[in-house]
Amino acid sequence: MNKDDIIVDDEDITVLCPSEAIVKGMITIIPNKKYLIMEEVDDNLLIKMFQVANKLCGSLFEALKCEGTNILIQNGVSAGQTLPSFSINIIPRYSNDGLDLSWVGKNASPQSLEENVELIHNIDKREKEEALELQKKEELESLPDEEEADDYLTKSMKRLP
Amino acid sequence: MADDNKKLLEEQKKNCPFCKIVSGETKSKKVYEDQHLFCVLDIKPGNEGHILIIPKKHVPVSPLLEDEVLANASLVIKNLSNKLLKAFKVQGTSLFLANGGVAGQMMPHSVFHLIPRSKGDSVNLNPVFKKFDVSEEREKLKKVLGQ
Repeated sequence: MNKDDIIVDDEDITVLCPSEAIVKGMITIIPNKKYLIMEEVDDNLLIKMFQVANKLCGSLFEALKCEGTNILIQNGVSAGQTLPSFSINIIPRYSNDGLDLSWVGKNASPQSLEENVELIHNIDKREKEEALELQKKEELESLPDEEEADDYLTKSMKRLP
Repeated sequence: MADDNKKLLEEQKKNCPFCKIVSGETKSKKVYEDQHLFCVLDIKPGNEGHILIIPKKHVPVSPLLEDEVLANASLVIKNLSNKLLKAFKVQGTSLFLANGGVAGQMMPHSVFHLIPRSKGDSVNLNPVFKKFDVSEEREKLKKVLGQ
């Protein structure tokens, strides 16, 4: 991070207009304490970052006279995260900016939608159950083998005078 | 808000597909709901598990959302993102919001998109970063922000 990039900061966050950006004039908000991904960010800090990001959408309209804005969070490497810290990007948009942020929607079957709702609803419960299963399996595997125990006993008896 | 704008907003609401989802008029696959938000699976997802976080209040652009709604949305998005990472075994999630048609907004109701992401998938939300001279933009922003 270049100090020249900073446009405003406080005890919790730093707001940058970086020279390396998606579009000229893009704003990036980063927390002063480093968190790698969104899931690690303290709740109150995340709330502040979202509220500031939203206000900055209005600031971009006012300052740069852009025609639209995007809020983009690239959470994780496969989402395109390049900074070693969670951040929120606010992107000014213009009709001739040539930027394509989009996707092609694929039709989802009713069955797959139903299955995915269940999956999302139950993932926490399923994760706990899987962890418990794994724990039980590890406990069983750490117990001595019955044959070994017998053999041990037999061996012990053989040692008796 | 001026009366004309209020009337326009009311007309928008009557025909808004997202308001119809929130009211239940249009069926949807709900993953979460609270006083401010209605979250559903997108029926035409960019990737499997794509969630729409819909503010119940109809606003055409996000700067019109109250801070309380943003606060709620931030924590719901964090929670749902965590579930998506685990449920779909992906290494990232994208959060995307568009204000204005030039930004990719399709419907006049502000909505967050939360999309599970895998390396090399076909969702085009990994834009290239370039170098710019932004000294002028920085000054304009500092002025607006009172710096």
